Amino acid sequence: MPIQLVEPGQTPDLHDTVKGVVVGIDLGTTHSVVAYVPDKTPEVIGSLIPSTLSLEEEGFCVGDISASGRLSSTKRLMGQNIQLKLGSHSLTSVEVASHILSHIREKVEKTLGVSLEAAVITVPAYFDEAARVATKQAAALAGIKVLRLINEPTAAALAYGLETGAEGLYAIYDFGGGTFDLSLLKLQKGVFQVLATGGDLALGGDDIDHALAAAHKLTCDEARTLKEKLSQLETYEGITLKDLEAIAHPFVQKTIDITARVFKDAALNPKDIQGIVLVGGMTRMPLVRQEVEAFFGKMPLCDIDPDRAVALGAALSAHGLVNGSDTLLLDVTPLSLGLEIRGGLVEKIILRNTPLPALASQEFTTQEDGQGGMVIHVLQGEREFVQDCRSLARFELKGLPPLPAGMARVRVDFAVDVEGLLTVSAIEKTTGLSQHVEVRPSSGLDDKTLADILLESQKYGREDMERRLRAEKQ
Amino acid sequence: MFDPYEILELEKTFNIDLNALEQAYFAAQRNTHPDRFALADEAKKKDVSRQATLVNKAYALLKNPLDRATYLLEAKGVSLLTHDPEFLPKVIEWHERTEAGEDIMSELAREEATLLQELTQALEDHQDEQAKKALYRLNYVQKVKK
Repeated sequence: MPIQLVEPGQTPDLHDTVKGVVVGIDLGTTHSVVAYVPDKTPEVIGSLIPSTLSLEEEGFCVGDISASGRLSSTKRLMGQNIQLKLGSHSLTSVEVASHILSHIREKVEKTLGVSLEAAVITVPAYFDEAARVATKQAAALAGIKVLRLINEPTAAALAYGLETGAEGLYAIYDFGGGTFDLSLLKLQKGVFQVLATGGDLALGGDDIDHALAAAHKLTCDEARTLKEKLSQLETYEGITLKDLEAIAHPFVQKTIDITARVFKDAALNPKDIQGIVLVGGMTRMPLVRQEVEAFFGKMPLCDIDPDRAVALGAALSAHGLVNGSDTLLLDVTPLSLGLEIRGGLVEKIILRNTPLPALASQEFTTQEDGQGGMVIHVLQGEREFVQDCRSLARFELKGLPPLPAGMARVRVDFAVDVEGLLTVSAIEKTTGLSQHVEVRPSSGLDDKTLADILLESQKYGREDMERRLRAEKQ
Repeated sequence: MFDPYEILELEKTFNIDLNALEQAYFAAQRNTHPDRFALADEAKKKDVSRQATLVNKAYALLKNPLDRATYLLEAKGVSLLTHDPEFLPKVIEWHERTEAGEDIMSELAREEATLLQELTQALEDHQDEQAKKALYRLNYVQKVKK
């Protein structure tokens, strides 16, 4: 089938349709950063914003790290249906994220004096479907149009590559407050091609803080301060760098194990790498740098601010999407996608590290004579058994034609878009009577709940606005 | 019909310069990648996303020599082998030696290289029967290696 090609550079001129500013947002576990491209070079707007939510007299407050009873590190719960308590309020991680994003929007609009038109928001490369959908929901609640989600290591590579003109194979080692990602990219003039990615959603600086707090009977805040001080000092408050490293080592080793696995996936050797780009606050720890250097046999590159690289890359991406760009970003799916088959096993339909967008199909048949329906259970993960994978969606394909066992032919299509979001459809094709069911998996919040929250946030949004206007008049 | 060569605008040969293939892939993605149509309407976005998917599929297929050979033979209407009695003694021998604890990886790698050469030659000379055999055996050797 011939593909219809369009003229190169035919991205419609979007200047006319975009009136406000477009930004890149790194919605981080510990802190969030927003950046934009005023001319050609990306710039961070303001400073790092702690990703915390607390209650003050005037209402919700983002970024006050001295507030007692604040919610923090809620990014780790994205996509999970867990209610968090804040005073008399009960919130999901999506709602917390939407407060942080609203705060960012207000800050951008106040600083630049124009409205925030749209944003590229970054997510850990290893974020699953539910967490990606949750991030988009949070943006919708905050009234931010999402141009695209991009993966954090890919954003960092974009910032690094465009700034330095680097070419060749690069590893992005992104060790943040909550998550670890490792991506291997091939950089060429104008092309950023992710070859393989891997990570752990529950492996970050927070885990080291918790372990440190437990070992030395500290609060998590104290443990974090201690960890940061010991990046520069040998001892602090009677605890030595060696003590910290003993606790941190197993976590750092885990990142190295994941890194080795990604190389295996990509059939590449650490020696093939031109450079290692460090991203995320944890890469300030001397132990992390030593271990990375030992694995690669090469000094990692430190000429990029590990806290700001992701936001700067996201800003470049947003700018390129709206103004047209010669830069091509080719990313992959981090986790395999599949269906439940007999015996509680998972049949993989799209394997991890498949370039996006991707489409794959699989045919299934009935097990019993006259079987009228079929349950389609969509899963994400690398393990063989259903209970070890993340369940994304389950639906029943009804009204199958009455046929002997093994005669019905049901084709299930998996489509993953460039943001890593999945659409599943199933078609019964034996009799020409085809059924088509589209599923947009999401967990945590259903559309009804989301609509309620949206209404509520608009209500409170107006109240907040009125309160602010009153305050300004006084 | 899905034709990876046509999608990437490449000549229909088994021998492919991998650099040229990659450049053809990037060129096609420049025209179809959804990022180039970020603010287009939904219908257009859907259309380019489908095209970009096919470009990815074409690239993945052509990158792999076995998939490439399979495609070329099937496109010609050649049905592939499902078994190869002449190859069986070798299969049994490898199996026995592996069972006995012998490491045959380097031998398999040599076998793989030889077979790939045979396959290339057969496809160039349009010797479909030989190509079928070499392809079947190569698939087998790669499975054993894993």
